[in-house]
Amino acid sequence: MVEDYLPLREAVSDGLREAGFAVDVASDGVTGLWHAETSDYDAIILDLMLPQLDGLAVLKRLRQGGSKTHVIILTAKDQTEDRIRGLDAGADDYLVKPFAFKELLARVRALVRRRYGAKNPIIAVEDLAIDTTGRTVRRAGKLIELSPKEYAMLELLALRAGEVVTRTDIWEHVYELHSAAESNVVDVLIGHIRRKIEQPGTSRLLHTRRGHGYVLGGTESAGAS
Amino acid sequence: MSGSLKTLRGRLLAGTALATALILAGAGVLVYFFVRISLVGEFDAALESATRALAALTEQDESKVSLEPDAFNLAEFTRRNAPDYFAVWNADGSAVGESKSLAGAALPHAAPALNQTILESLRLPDGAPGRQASLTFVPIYEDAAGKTGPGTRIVTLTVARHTAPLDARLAGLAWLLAGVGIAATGAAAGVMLWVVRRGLRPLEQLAARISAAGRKNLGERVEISDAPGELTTVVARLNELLDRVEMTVIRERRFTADVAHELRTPLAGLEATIDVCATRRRMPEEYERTLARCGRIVRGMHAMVENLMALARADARQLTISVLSVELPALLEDCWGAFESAAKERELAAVFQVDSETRIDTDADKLRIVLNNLLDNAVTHADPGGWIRIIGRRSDRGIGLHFSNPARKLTLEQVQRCFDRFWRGDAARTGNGAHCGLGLSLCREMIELLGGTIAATLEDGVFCVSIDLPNQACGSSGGQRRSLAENAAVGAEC
Repeated sequence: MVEDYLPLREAVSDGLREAGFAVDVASDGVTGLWHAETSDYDAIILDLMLPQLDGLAVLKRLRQGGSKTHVIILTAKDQTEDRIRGLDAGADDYLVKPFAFKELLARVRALVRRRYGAKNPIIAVEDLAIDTTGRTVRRAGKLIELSPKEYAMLELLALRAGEVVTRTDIWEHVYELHSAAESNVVDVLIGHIRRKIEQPGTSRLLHTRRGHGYVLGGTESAGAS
Repeated sequence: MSGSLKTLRGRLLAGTALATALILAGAGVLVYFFVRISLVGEFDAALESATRALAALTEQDESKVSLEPDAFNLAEFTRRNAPDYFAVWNADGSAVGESKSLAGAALPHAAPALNQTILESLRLPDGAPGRQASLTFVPIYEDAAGKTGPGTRIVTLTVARHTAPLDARLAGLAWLLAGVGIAATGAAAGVMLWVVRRGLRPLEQLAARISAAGRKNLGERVEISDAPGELTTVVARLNELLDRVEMTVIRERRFTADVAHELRTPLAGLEATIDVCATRRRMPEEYERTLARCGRIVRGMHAMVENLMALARADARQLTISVLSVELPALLEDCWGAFESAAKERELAAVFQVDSETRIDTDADKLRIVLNNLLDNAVTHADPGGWIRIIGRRSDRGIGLHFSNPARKLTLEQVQRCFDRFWRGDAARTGNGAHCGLGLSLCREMIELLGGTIAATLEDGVFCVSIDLPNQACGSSGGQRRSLAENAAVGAEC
């Protein structure tokens, strides 16, 4: 999130974190651009009136650099011309201040789904159903309780179902930029998720590809544990 | 009627019609009297001529004066309808003779001098108006042998004639003149109506253009093709006025939009903070943290609203000045206390070069607002690790103050706009929302209210605000805004 107004930056980033997102924040355009160019984000929330480098310049430089990260502009500029300028500069969405936080959250969720080509807010992997709106997980209709981090990790795996997701990808999407990477945290969380979604009598759903990462769904191949 | 006289057309028409009527009436009266005098003169000449002709028929013999018999049978004295009359008297008043038309009635016996004629109006024996000519003369003497010579007797002859035909002609003339006058007045009014309508058409066009001006587009101006010279000046002045109105409206709209825009972000912060807090039940300390955040946002908005109110009051000239003797070093030190920690945090070195015991008679509260804003501005925007220098000097008028700090990223164009409302050097706000671009604008309003001047300069990457504040606040009229070129001299101390 790139926003120079501290109270708004704090409120939105806290709310997003509570919603299970890992959030990096920047208070000026230059820092925001640096973050966006050095990390792979699912979505960027970008203010327009920023110190040092304004939001439109940040967006244009990102697009010129080939970034495909979804960007939602969050600004006080409400004129049609402003919206057109922002969307034409490469923004995927535009939200005018003040706004309802729930709306911002829904738009961010939609952008994240679009990143992985999913339009349905309920992601189904075999008999596992993840409701990204209600943030609930059910297997064979039975509700499964997950912590926010476990949910975020499972949602990422579900969005990329059938693909190998590396530990680094998982870390970047679940934890924030400045948090210290701990080598076994991802494995421990994967173990927790596996115990919760793979109850006795159910099929194996979360597979490990040794030396590569994890795959949700699909058949277990050689070398998997 | 009174309604139509309120219009320019009505007044012009009424005025010209009245003037035409008066001129024609006056001319008619003059013509009438000129013709009357002329006709009466002709009438009198004819009457006098008839009198002298009749006098020639008066003879004297040895015993008496008499008229020749033909005189009594002349047609004008014997006709039935409006006959003429005559009568002849001896000098002693005894009658010599009279026309048959008198039928026993009498004519007034005038007594002019010898060979003189008197003309006068009278009421004739039949009651009709008339005029008579009286001539006193000596008739010709003729003896029995027919020999003639000058007579010895003096007689007076009076001939009277009806004036009805003359009066009828004059009455006809009067009616003709009145009719011509009325017709001419009506025709003149009609012509004037056409002329006035045509003449006032540019004015009507102007009224229509003025009425339409600015309805759709404030930039629209009044243009009239072939406008008369008198209106060209009016149109030019009107367009100048519209220029000023447009500038004011644009400024007001921009200001309102800026206010709305500046309030959106803190409102968004407030709403998001509350929304996020309300997503689930929380521990008491989390609610306390949220309340503290909301409090900070509200205080930031409060500061902005206060600045806006102060600016609005300054604009409306509603601020009052309370003059006190202010010790500048103490006031500066007091203000600096609020910014000292922020300056340390940004590793800014503060240099105060203020003459001790520098005092000024001014409004301490207004000066405090200025000092707080300038110190805040310097601490917030000075290059990190740089310095802030405050110079205070006594001057002949009062004091001179100079606030300077390095600001390498600031451009000359930005400095030119730094006193504009809602202007921010980098088009953004700082973390707590207190810097919304009103501070320097408010400083200028306050300093001008105190009768001083304020200017900003940029030289070698150093931004400097210079204030010249007179002793004894003398009101806003003393304040003047300077151009950037003029600022160079003011900023010399920086």
